[in-house]
Parts: sequence; structure tokens; C-alpha cells
Amino acid sequence: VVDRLDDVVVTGMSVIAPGSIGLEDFWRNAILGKIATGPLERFDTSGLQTAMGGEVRQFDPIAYFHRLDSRKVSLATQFAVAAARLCIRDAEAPAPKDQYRAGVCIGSVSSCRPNIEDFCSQEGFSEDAHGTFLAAPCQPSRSIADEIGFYGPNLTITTACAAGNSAICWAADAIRAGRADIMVAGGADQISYAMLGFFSRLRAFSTDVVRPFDRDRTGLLISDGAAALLLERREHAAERGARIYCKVAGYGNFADAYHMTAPHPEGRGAVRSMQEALRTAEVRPSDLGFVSAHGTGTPGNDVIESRALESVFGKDSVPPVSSLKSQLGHAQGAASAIEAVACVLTLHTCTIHPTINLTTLDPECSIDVVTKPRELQKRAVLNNAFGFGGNNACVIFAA
Amino acid sequence: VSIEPSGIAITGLGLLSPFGMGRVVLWEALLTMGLSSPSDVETNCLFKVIDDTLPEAILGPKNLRSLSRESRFAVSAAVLALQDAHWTESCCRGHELGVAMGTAYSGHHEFSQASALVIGGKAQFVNPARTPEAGYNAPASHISIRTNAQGLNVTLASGYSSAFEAMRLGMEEIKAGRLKAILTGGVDVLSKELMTAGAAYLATGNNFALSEASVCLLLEGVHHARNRGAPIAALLKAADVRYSPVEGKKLSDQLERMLRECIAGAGLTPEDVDGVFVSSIGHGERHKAEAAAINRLFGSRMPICAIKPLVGECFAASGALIASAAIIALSKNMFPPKAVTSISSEWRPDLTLCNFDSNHFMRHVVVTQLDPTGFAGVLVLGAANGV
Repeated sequence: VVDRLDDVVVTGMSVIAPGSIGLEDFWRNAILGKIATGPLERFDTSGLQTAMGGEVRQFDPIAYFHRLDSRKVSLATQFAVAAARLCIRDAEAPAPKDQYRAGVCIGSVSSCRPNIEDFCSQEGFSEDAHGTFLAAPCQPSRSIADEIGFYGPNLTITTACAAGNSAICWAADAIRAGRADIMVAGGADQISYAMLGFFSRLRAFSTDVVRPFDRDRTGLLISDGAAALLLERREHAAERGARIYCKVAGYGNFADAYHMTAPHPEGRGAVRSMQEALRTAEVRPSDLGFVSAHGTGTPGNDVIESRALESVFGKDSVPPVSSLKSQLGHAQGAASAIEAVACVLTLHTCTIHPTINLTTLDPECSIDVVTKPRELQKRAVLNNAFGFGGNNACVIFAA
Repeated sequence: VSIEPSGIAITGLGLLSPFGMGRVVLWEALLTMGLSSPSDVETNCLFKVIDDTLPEAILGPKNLRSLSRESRFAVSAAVLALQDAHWTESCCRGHELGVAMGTAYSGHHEFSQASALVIGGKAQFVNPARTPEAGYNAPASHISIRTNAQGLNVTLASGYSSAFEAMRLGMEEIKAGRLKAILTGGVDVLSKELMTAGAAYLATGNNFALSEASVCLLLEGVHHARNRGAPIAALLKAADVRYSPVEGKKLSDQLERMLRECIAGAGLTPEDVDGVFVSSIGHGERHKAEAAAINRLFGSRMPICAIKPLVGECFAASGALIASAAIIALSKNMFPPKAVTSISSEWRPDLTLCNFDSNHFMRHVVVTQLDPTGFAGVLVLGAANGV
């Protein structure tokens, strides 16, 4: 049994995101600040608030599916399996000695639910949809297990847009509790008509690009994506001579218990989650060199997140902040998993990726938002993720 | 942060099922409504649904319309569990109370409705107020808001064993000192889309009624429960959930291993177990594997109880509903006799049944859950007076 949380280490990573498949593409584009959102091609956007989003294109699942039929799972599950395979490859991890001590945890908002859209019509739900009857939300984590032979702890966690971070927390706990030696943790989601419809009607979308923390920000853009991190017990990683990117140093998960769509005005759950992450990581606020913001670019989120950061770190002491959603859009349950990979790469390369599309900082967001690549000055970083329903999950990675 | 060493108490049980609300109603149903044969289930009661008027009786009429059915039922079950546990907000600080719920299909209806509208070119008719209800996490989040549970709030999906995973996680959170108490359980309802899909699935020869339920259990440390004078219904001794996508002998071997490890994890041996509440879902191969594992581990004299022939398959809520029956049985020190006889020998020849000796004190029971998605779960529960 692992006594300390920081004995859980990251040894492999991968990202499937708009504009990039694989780690190298992803990080190069992130540092360059490339906009990966654009006009949606898979969807008829008539009647919607926006025609823009972040689609993963030129993705061929066949290369990643060795056992299952990729056509029988959702696009999100295809992304999840691809991310897991690339992650294992990045970690140069051999097949586990004991497959019951190797597990999977994936966070998702919609999971395989967009599959049912194939059966939808104006008349309603088709009987042909019985194939989806068994397609419970656990499809991504089950499919990864089937593909890579990890038959230990297995879960799909559905804590809205905090799901990717939640999955990392759950997976790290599985290792810490002695239930597993190695875990694939991450998130996966795809754009769906339902989410386009809902967020259009909420008037939550931008109509061009995402502008986190900008005075004139108007909203988010929804995206496809997946990311996976290979977490290992430090001794397990050392035994196989694995490269260790960093450790999972601490995390916190607290609810707002306030409102289904609006964050608590003072960011109650977010503040507690960040404070708990700092406490369990045994680091001081001044030890953090970067915060990967939830940073959706919606009027509500960015102000509350800024307020919460100031509450935790002090008004003029908030570490440099950046939002990857300015580049990729919001990949829903995958977002914080993708951002977790960015955090690990920030530590690994000592470079903070920029927030793009920021012209005029909102005076209510008086934080240091990184708009050009910047050197990381300290050896610990914080990844924030918040979701509808008051779900909050914050993770600290440290060198 | 203090580690909770005293064990985990189940102090509140709230449930809504097609029989009604509360533990008394479920127990009465188990006592009086035994089935003569599985064909009764198939022909008379393909779908079993919860009375939609129940939440209003528990929560009042205000704001109910903004909640999905599953959220209404989940919040109702949570409120019932807190009432059952004599819980008040002063029992702990807000951030020391958490929520962990399992679900397989929450939000299915809202998501499907929005999809159909947008695909049909009627995006303007999508109701924005229903957005959060389309998420799997809506029931747990409504519980969090309604009960001011500011601690961990998670929604978990591990097939129909999701509620077991929620209970396992809740137990770990309390043991680690991160929470004083947690509302755990499972919820799933039959949307019209799920019934359509389910009917097609049933037509393929899967012989079980589809049902719905919402179950919430309040877990807390035994010391915490005792200090506030709470009634302890039972103890949660151990829980495990695994993904076992195998069949036949391999599955029964794995389930037997899970049972052994879970019982050992509770500090017990198979001889300490006085009864097993099985999932018995009617999937022939998985049922046989379950029966084989139980027979091998416990022998032929172990009392067995199966409630699904009576209540139907209620997906991610199933495990929590079976666990509820086990908790009530432990607290009353008796097996529901009709449920025992309902798995008659001609229907389920794989299980050896025997009647529970009511003069014998029931110390521990095991609850199993197998499902068609490949997940398997095990709970070990103990009698409260065994503390």
C-alpha cells in the first residue's frame, strides 16, 4: 500500500484533440498557440447559436483497435481507446504482470450517449436503438480494458466537465489504496447534437473563438477530444525502469452544493478543492508556478474562477494562469484530462502555453494570464476543473 | 484529518421502488408478494415503474418540475435516508458530507429529446432549463444541493454494479477521514426511449422485467454514529467491483476469488457468512457462474435470497436495492421467505436453497451483483449488534 499520494507518478501520456493526434503535435501547437476550433463539418448547424467547434479530424480508429470492432462503439470511445494505446506506447509499458492490478478510469460527460443520435429522427427514438440498450456510460473504460488487457479497477466517472480530473483522482486513489499498481486515467468525449442544442439555447456559445478572461468574451465552443495518463506506483515504475514525468502530488474534490448551472458566487467548492489539493500535496501556495485554469471563456466562469484563485493564493500572489480552451475549445469530460497532460508537459519542458484571443483583460479577472509562452519558474502546477452540478476537481502535479 | 478506525455504519436507508417508498414497503413486498414462477414476471409485468406522485409527498411541490424523474427520485431517497438516520445539518459540517451515486442511464430521456429536436431542425424548441438534467451527474448534484453536501460529489458508472462502487468509495472516503458521512446508492429510471430499446432487447430472449428504483444509504463512521446516537441498521464491512468480461468457468472462478478476497478484506472467513443475496438476473450463463461460485465457496447449506424476480432489473440501482433487502434482513434477523422460495428449483436448478433458521443469529451476509456489461460486485454486510 502506498502511504503518500506523491508516490503515484505519471509515466505516459497522450492526447487526441482538435488539430493534433499524439503528444508531439499537441504540445507544439499548444506552445505556438494555434487555434484548433473552426467551422463544424460533421453537423448541420442551422438553427444553432454557433457554427463553430473543435472537431477531431483525420482520425482513423482502425489502427488502435486490435480486439474490438471500432464501428460498434461511440466516437468518444474510439478516442479513449486510441489515447490509451498511445499512452501505453509513450510509457513503453509492457503488458502487466498481473492484469488484475492494472486498471482504467475515464471521465466523460456524454460517454457513448451520442451513439443514440444515429437512431434519432423527428418521430422520436427508433426501435433499432436496442443496440444502445447495453451501451451504458461505462463503454469507454470497458473498451480500453478489453483492448489493452487491464482488468483491475475499472470505472467511467461522470462528474460533468470536471470528469477528467475526477478520473485522475480516482485512479491515483486506486493505486494509493493498494488496489492497483498501474492505471490508465483520463477523459473522452465527442460533440453531439444534444450538447450543441442545449448550449445554443443557453446562449453559452461564442460565435467565433474562445476568449478566456477577456473583457469581451462571449462564451465557449464545444469540442471532441480525449487524453490519457499512465499512473503508476513509483516502485512499480522504478522496477521497470520507466521514465517518470512527474508525481501526482495532491488533489481535492468538493461540491458547490449551490446551483445546477451557476457556480457558487465565491467559488466555494473550487476554493476548497484547490486548498485540499495544496494540503495533500504538502506544498505552499507560493510553491506553485502555474495554474491551468478551467477558463471556459464564459462570462460567469472566468470571474468566479479568478475570485477563487485570489481567495486561495492572495490578491497579488496568484501564479501565472493559462487556459488551453482558448485554443482547443471545451472538450467536455476530456477537457481537464487534456489540460492535465498540458500541466505535465509544462513541468517537463518548463514552458507555459499561452492563452490566445485575449485582447483586453477583464478588470474583474485581475490575474496574470499568460499570453505568450513563458518559462515555468517553479516545480509544481495546478489543474482546475469545474462542472455543472457544482462538481469541482483540482489536481497538483509536481516534479 | 483523522482516520476512521471503527468501521462503517449504515445509519439511513431511503428508497423508492415500484412497491412504493421506504424500507417498510419493500420488506412487506418481499414478505407477501413472492412469485410462483418467472413467467409471471414476463407476462404480467414487463416494466415496473415508480409512482410519480411519491416525490411530491416527500419534497413538496416546489421546484419539482425542473427536475428529471431520476433526480426527483434520487433526492427523495436521499431525504428519506437522512430522515431514517435522524440526521440534521448540525451532525457535521457541510464539507464533511458527500454524495456518491451510481447510474447507468440518468439523463437519457433529456439527451434523446434534445438530440431528436436538433436533428429534426427544431433546435429552437430545446428547453435550456433541461440542460443540466441531461447529465449523468444530475441526480447526485441535486442531492448535494438539497442536502447541502459540500464534500465529494461524484457520479459513477461501472455497469449495474455502480451502486456498489459508490458504496465502496464512500467507505474509503470515511475511512480516510475525508468525510464524516456520505449519501451513496444508485438510481435509474425507465425513460420511454429505454423502454423502447429495452423491449427490443427483451425480445431477443432476455427473460427479466425491466424496472426502476432509487436507493440512498447514509454511511458514517461507527464512532460518529454512536456519538450522535444514530440508529445503526447494519455495518458495511467490505465492497469490491471488478470488470470481468468472461463467461462460464472463468467467470465463476473470478467471482469466487472476488468473494474470497472481499470476505477476507472484511476480516472474515466464509464460515462467518450466514446468507447470500444474489443478483440472479436471468442471464443464463452469468447466473450459472454466480451459482457455481457461491456453491463452491459456501456449500449447499447457505441460505440464498434473490429479489430481482420480484422487483425486476433496475440497472445501476439494482445493487443498492438488493443491499437494502439484505440490510433490512440483517436488522430483523430473518430472510424474506417468499423471496427465498421465489427462486424455485425448477427455475434455477443451479442454486441449492435452504431455509434460514430463524433461531440462528445472522452475523454477516454477502450481496452479489453481476450484469450483462461484464461488471461484478460484492458487498459484505454485518449485523449492527455485532459491533
